[in-house]
Amino acid sequence: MRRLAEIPVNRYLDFALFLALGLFPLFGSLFYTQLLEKYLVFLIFAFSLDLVWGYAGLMDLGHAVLFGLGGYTMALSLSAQEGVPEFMARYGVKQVPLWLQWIVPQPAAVLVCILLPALLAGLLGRFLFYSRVGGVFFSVITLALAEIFSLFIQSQQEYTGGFNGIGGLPGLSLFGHSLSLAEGYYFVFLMVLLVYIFCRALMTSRFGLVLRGIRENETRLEFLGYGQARFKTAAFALSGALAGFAGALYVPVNGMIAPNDVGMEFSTAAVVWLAIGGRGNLTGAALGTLLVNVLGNALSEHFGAYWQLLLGAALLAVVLFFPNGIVGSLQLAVRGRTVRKGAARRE
Amino acid sequence: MNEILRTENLSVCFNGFWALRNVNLSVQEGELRVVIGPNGAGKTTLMDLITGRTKPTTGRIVFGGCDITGKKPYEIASLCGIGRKFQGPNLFENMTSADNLLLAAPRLNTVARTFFRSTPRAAQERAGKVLREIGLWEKRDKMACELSHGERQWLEIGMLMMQAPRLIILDEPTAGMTAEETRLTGEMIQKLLGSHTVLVVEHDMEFVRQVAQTVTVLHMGRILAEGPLEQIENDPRVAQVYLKSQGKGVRTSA
Amino acid sequence: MDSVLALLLNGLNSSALILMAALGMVIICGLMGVINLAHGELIMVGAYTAYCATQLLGLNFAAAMALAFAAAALAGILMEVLVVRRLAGRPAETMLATFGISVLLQQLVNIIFGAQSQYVAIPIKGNFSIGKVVVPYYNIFTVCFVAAVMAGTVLLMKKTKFGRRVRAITQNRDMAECLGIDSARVDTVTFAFGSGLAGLAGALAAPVKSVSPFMGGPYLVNSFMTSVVGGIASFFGTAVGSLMVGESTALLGGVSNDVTANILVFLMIIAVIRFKPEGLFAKERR
Repeated sequence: MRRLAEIPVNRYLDFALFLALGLFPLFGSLFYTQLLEKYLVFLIFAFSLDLVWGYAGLMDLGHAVLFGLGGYTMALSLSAQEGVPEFMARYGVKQVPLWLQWIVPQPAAVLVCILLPALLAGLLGRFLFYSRVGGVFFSVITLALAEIFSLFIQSQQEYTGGFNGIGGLPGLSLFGHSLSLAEGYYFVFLMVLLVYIFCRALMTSRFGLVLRGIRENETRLEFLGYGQARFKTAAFALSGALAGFAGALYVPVNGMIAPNDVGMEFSTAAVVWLAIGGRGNLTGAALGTLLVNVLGNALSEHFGAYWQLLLGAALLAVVLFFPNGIVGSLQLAVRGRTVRKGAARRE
Repeated sequence: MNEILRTENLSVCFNGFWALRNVNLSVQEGELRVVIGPNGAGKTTLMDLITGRTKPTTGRIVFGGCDITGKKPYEIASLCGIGRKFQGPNLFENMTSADNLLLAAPRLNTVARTFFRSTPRAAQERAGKVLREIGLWEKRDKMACELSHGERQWLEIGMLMMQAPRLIILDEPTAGMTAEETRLTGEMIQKLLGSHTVLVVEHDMEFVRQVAQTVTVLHMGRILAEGPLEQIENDPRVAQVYLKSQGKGVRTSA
Repeated sequence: MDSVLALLLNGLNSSALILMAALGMVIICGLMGVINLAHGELIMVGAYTAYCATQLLGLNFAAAMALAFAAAALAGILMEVLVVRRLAGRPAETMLATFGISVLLQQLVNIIFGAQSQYVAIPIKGNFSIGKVVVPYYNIFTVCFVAAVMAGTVLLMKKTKFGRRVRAITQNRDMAECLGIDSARVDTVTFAFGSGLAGLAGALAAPVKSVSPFMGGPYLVNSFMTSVVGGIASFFGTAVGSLMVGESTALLGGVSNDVTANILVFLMIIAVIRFKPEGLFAKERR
């Protein structure tokens, strides 16, 4: 019944975006390929945020905590490959702690990178969603979590490198073979593609339908027999796993991780990408992430603070005039309708 | 006839105010029961209790032989099959009519049954059938918020058909409607009958006369009278608290 | 013994600063239901106003505080009229928009004054000692001042016509409008007042904390946590909440570091939400 001949606009956009990203290393300079590789990792992070915010309507303002859990786990694992890492030795740590020994093998590290954030998100969901804490309070609590997590990371200097973070880490390698830049780029590209397909398939499945139902009208859904807390917790945990995976990829690609990457700053940055690109269709997440980061890189070098100023103004303008973001507004234009404002939000 | 719903000494207290006191209600399978009463009589509260939105202070609710007192709304909806239409349209606004109906499909509402699964073919076909029945087949890809007021009401009734619950609760289905829309809605509700048990809260006596079999009158949180419509209309106590004000044309929603 | 006393007094001082920062949030979030992510930046505006007034213009501290209140209140009026009002009834969007404003304010100040920390001289110098514990006079002033502002705010909200109107709108906006209350105007004034209090908090903290364009974040989070722990719309609750946060931070700071205290407070909030959700977040539903 849903099989319509038309393909939504955003699928064309997705195709174009992935084609461009796939072909880029063939034409682009090494410098930009490396930069884009980092943004590819951000795409995974943006998709994971879109699952909870765009689909289920849960605005997570501390999503970087989940990213950071994965990132720091990977960073610790990579730095401990050859005995006690230098930054630990500086604080008088003589032996690799037992918990760190467990995550030295890479497969174990990847597993922990994915499971640990999923566990945290699941626990948080268990506590919040089952107590019917939703809407803006969820945002406030996750924001507080982000601030506290980054303070915590900074305070645990002997294990996290404190304010400076953990740096000097090796790049991507597979089965003991370290990847060249192009190989690394395509590896990350493949991961992004897989995550995209995973998210797309899940969100077009009935699960995605229910999540959108939660976003639109949670109470009504409850009276149709859906346990909304379970769905939200499942979505949040899954999103945590993806964010952790993004964090794990980020570390070898970027070479380092610092408290800035796990706190309020990075969390809200991702929120801005999605707000500008548009939520609830994955395409907006991808477009917003690439647009803001590429522009940011080009402009912040010369204009610095003015670029941030522009970003703040752009966010304000999008919220006031294009609440559906670029892709959402585009879809509406194609459908030829206007959204009844606020109709979806009823208590 | 089989009893499907029974409340035993149901009472609920909000901050010292007894919204309902010792309500004993019994609804038979296949019945259409109308609950009337003036504003603040506790009609909506009674529906909230049955659907699990509010927890009773004392008393029991038994549905189909099992005790559902204090269960969560989603448990009551999915395990017992109680469907509820709220006062005023209550839809998934930025989703298509088709998606609205698909969400209402029964027994497909756990994480395990939805995770990476599409809605089963049978349910999809049923949704198509319901769409034709409520006259929205042509508008199946329109968002709910793009529909007209009447179409939105029908979509909600379509969701109830889709859900196929054992008991349907309708909370003032004609509130804010014109006379013509009220009549059409009445017809749709009569279509729902036959196969379902229906519990209606209503204010509009015209509508009550159109559909009612048995009427329960609530007043100040207690059951004042219960019986066939003619008997209720001739009951002096009921006339005193309720029907008279209707005669003067006073019609407000609770 | 002395060290415990010192910690307690320190805790009292930081409680007062936390309470001052949270008061504006109680008014804007608790009474108006607007979550203002630029709250920290309003505090920052107050701190910078105090810096300009005392260090650049050579005014005294009392004038600086008045100016800080005025500057933040003005920023609040602009925010309410230009942005918040247009997003009424859409809390998530309001939150996003106020985040945009917070970025704007940070960067404006960053462009004008630079990213480095600014210094504001302590206006009341000197200290006295109880046994071995040294207490600066400015701390005494802080605690007394915050207590006075708190009392004034509570009186304003409970006893005056304006306060009654604000509370009427909180209870039932439509009904209040029917009774002839100009709710748009009351909203603007309430928002301005809450923002002004944030500015005052900034001025008060400026001499003892660092003043920089990015100082707002921790204030925002702290204000949220204290007002949530105490009950978002309750002045008394927030006072208790800030005492809890301030003292536990100070006392735990004595044995470990204040990050641990922060984490404990956060866990406490989660526990409170888990076991007493209605008490803090939702009014009893009918």
